[in-house]
Amino acid sequence: MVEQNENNFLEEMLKESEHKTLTNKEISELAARHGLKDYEAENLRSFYASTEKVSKVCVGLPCKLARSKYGEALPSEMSGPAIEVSCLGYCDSAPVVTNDGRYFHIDAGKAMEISGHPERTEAITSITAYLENGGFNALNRVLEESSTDSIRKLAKEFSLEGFGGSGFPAWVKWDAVAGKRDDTKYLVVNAHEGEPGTFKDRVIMENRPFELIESALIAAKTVGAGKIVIALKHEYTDAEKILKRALGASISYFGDKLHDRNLPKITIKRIPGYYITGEESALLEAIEGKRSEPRLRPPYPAEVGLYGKPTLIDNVETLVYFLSLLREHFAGKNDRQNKAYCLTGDVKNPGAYFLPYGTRSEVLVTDAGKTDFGNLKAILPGGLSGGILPAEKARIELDFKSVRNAGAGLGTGSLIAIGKERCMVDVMDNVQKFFERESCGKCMPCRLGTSELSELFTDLKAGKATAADLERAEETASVMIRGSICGLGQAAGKMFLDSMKNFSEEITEHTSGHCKSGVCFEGVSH
Amino acid sequence: MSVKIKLNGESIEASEGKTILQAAREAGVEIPNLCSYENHTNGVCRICLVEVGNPGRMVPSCSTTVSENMEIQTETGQLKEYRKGLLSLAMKEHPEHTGKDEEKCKLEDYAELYSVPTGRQRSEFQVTIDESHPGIAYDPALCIMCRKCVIACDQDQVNEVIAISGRGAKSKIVFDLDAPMGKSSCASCGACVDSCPTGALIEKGWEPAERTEVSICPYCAVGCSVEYGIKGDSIIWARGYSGSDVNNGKLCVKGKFGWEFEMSKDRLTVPLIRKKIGDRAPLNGQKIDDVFRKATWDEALDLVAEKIRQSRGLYGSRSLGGIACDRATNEDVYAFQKFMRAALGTDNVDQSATLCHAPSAAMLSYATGAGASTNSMEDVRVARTIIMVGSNVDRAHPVLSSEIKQAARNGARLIIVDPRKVELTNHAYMHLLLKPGTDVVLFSAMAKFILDNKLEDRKFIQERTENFEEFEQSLSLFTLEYASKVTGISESDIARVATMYAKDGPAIIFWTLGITEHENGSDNVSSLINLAFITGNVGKPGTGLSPIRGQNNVQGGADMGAVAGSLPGYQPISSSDNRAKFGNMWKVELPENPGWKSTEMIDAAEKGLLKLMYITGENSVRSHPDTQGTIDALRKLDFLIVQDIFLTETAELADVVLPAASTFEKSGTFTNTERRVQLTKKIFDPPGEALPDWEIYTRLAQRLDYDLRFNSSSNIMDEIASLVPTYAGISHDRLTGNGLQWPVRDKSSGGTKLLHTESFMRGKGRFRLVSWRERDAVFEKTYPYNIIIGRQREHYHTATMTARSRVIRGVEKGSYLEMNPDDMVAEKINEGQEIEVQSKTGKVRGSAKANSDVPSGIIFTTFHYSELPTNFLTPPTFDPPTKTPAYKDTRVKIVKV
Repeated sequence: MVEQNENNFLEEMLKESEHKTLTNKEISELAARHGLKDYEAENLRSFYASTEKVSKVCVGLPCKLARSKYGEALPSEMSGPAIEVSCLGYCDSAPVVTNDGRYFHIDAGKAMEISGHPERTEAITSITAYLENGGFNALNRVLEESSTDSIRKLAKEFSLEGFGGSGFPAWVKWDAVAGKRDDTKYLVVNAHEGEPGTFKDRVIMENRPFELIESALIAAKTVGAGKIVIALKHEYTDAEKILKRALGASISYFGDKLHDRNLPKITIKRIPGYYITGEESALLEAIEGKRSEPRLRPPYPAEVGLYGKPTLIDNVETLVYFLSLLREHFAGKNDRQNKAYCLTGDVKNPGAYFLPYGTRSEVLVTDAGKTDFGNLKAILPGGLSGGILPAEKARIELDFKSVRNAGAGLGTGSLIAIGKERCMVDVMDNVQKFFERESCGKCMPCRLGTSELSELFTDLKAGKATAADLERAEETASVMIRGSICGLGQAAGKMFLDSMKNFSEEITEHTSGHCKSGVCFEGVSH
Repeated sequence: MSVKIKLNGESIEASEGKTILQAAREAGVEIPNLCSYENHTNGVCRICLVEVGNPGRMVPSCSTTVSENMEIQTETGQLKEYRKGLLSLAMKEHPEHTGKDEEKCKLEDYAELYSVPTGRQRSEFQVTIDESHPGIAYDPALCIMCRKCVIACDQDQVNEVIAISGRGAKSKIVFDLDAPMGKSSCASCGACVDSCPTGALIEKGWEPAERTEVSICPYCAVGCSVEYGIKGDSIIWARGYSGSDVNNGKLCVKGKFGWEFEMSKDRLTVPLIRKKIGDRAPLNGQKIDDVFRKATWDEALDLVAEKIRQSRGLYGSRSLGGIACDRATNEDVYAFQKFMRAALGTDNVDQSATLCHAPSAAMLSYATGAGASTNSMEDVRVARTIIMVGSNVDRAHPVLSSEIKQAARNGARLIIVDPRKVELTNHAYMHLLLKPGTDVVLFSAMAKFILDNKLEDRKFIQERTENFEEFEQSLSLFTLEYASKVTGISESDIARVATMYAKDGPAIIFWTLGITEHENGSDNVSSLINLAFITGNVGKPGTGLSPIRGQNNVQGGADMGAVAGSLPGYQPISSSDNRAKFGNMWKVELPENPGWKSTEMIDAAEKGLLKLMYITGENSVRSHPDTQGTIDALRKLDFLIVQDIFLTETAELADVVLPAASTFEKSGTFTNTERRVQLTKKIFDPPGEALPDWEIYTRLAQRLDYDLRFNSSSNIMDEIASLVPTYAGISHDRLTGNGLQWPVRDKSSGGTKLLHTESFMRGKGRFRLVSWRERDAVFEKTYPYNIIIGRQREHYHTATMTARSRVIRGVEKGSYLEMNPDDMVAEKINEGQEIEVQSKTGKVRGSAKANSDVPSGIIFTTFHYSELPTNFLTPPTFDPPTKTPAYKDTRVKIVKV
């Protein structure tokens, strides 16, 4: 495969279309300037962007749930055209709307800007404090003392698992990439969160940028990657600023040592995309300037990754978490480290909380969220793809194994709380509409299946679905789980089967005209 | 290497690296699939899942390769249930077909197989059918987003038109920036149609064929295999034949849609005799019946024989001449030259190569001993550096162009040398935009640079070539500085390309008529050959000297000896041994002196030396230079016989017109640009009384008391094999499948992909010294523009066949004089304005069209359109060794009308 030059067509197109609607002629000319043909421009513009200036209203589950508290109304200054999007990554401020490149929390029709606080950026990116607290010591020690083999062994000893959603053992990927001989290898830092309720990587980057830089350098050195690409969710404008300033400060700090120690080159780039873009191979496609669709595997990114080169892809938190383990190890300690838990939904205090890995769900909801666990009907322990548990089965430790044992997945560690007053059909309608909206459309089971399940819930809510429809949907879900290329379609199917397993009665009653919660059948008479 | 696998419980061997889908197919098990595309990974339909291992794990069979001891189940209960579920989802979104296209729908077939009810009514779907393309309809409602058309258009053909628009359930297939197909940049190659599994993209009016036949495309020398759908006595559609190693299922617009001429009502069906013999003028609006009368074969052939006898009696055999058709079969051409030489006793026999690639054939023959491409088209996949010179391959040889574009995408460095920004420059690493006709200076300077900087392959030069020292000494003129001044290319670019060619090999050179159709065409060719010799870029995979031939049998035409002075197999008639060898076989005394080339024949006719001409399948009036001079010369003849499938502008001038069978009406062989001899198949009987060429020659020879001794096309090939060493191992029964590439020395030979591997066919490779003459500056001032006559993708040559296809007429680009926009401003010419272009030879009128791909000082046009007969402009000046016209050297001035 040919290594391609960076193509900024997409970036420019998105930038220009933020402020005006581009005509076909303008797009064609812009594409030609970047050496692209019309069909390539169409592939990209239709995938990534509406070329109209619009407000984007987040309708992800946390924002949906929050609207019952803060209201549906949009401020008058955003009364123009609007589109619905699945997640803007600011779920702790739900409900959220973005307009003209800025992000707002909406409360009773009033907009409060979330992003853009330069004075905070200044404080966070001062390297002095970081160094005073032992910053870069671990990296320096790795560079000076340890062989990369021993670091990889440590990762294995720590049983380092990925916090990006799949919980795949990170050290396996490290070993695979380290074992590849190639002039160019990449570390791609996956900072492309997109699952409703998940924003922990943004919080980490906005508050602990140096830790990400240090840990990425350690990981890259460990696997022999000469280039690091930190691929940020497009919406993370502040995080980008903060990281770039921190990188600048780090480069000054290293000075000549950069060359002497042959430190990998770090590129920080915001990448447009969607939930699917966080899927590792779809992220590679997006970085390469293509439609962000998952690749077929094998080959795995460790063999054929970014621009065809062996590539390690790790989630932000995974790297930072490894750094804290490593620091402990170097200090001769072996304490449990803090993991980031995102808490959203029907709780008083949503937010990202750094608590010991394996904290119990009740502790998170009660102590951090200031909400009585007894008021909950259900939780989604791992975002929208990690399954859905009835509250009575959900008093568990939030680690991969315990959540799995409970019949769900920890995923990104993003807990969405569902209050007692909610209707599960209404909740699942939101979930299935999310998957429908986010399916890239590449494979048939997911493209058709997500649509089918979404329609089912529309019908259930309208009282139009039958028991036979539910039965057929179970077949559909099974096709999706077996046949989809990536986790999106599989999760969509699994979420449906989960909901049928745990909330069968509540869902099925909708086929006979009942909604106990009194949420559905709006405008439908019985 | 093969691996043992268990397929549905049965142990079989499968080739390593094959996918489960392929391995099963080879074992006779067809796993359901909708999106699989040969040689490309797609993997999106997911219906091809199979179970692997025990307990079974479901994996996609199209993207999982077989491995040792793999246990595969293709049709378990679980799989059936899965497929049924998936098909149910798909059928829910699939309307019932409203026409015969249902028979093309694989989805419907599978639905039936897995007992899934059929879809909804078409009327329930809001989307409208895109019928903007003249030949293709697109119904988005039938589309299942399998993305095969995207692979076909983007990856296989690299035509880059079809896009995936949007995401998820809303995603759809669109053209360019969502333009109607007919308004898009679609190349009309039809690959999307051929690949579509549901008929969403389909030929307008498609219906199932009663039978299909595979044959060779009647147009260019790539030699694509085409599968024709036939109903009654008509072709109703065509698609690329995937079993061919040449085109691997690809076609261009001409192959896909250019077959309608076969059924044209304009076809010649009976012999015609001019009512007033000798009064030869174009029809000029008169009806055919006013000028010609229908005749029987006996009448027509008796008259022709009588006229031949008369002319021969009065002026000798030297007064007779004939031009062979290069889209006739080898057998036809062989019969023609035998007829001319043995029955008429003249060596005045030629083919259209004199109008195109004769310098390539002659100079390659001089240097290597074989007047043909040294390598195969597939070498482009191996080459690391590809130099394309004077070759608008994307228009003239689109299927080869796709291979080159693929190679460029895969990392080969593509260097375009052309005075225009041709389509392929969009895929190129570098474009050397040289001044027209200065190629010899450019390539000689590269050679000098390579030698001066010791980049040459010394060992190759020493062991494999001769005449090197003289060659090296002859290069002193060609310094980078001088070359840069003459060609307009920077010294550094010349040096860069020279270095790449010498050092970043294997490197291959392709060229076409931008090299040959010059007064110094032969020197241009030799400069390329010399360059390959000093770098050793010949005789190895991925290297080579490759003239891309024009007509589907122009290589064969020369192989068959339709070349003055050259008996079949390039055996010089000047050699008494050769004359004896052929004379004995043919039972005649052969003429000793080489005859006239086709352009010389026109000249000889003008001078009154040639009295009778027999032109077969060449529209000489439109294709020779100096159209007026050509018409005048043909009218000076005593007698003109034209044999064709249509009444061309040339046939209009004939005394007798003989109706020939078309390519679809006879069997025989064509030899493509890589020396591949392939069988073409008789699909229909000829219309009316038309006959295959060889039968006409046989009947005519009888009237001249000569027996050609042929009774079938294959019987002619047997005679060819007995006399032509390079065809010795060829017979029709050996040519099934992908044919054989000559030389085929004996019946056991599998042919030769690559020539000159150990030694050159003539022994040593022979350098040929070239020279350069500065241009006449005064003349160039008087005629400030260089007119380049080239091709459009949709039409072929003088369009006698392509213009008779409705679809091609619908997508053709039209006749224009294309100019650089700045020149138009300077000349105060508006877009579309009619202008007159004058050369010292003639003038034509046409409408001006701005095109920034045409550099300043150049006008680009074609010779496809009768309303813009551009060869009125081209002067009768020739490349001295080959008498090839300097079509690309025409200087013109613009006169406003």
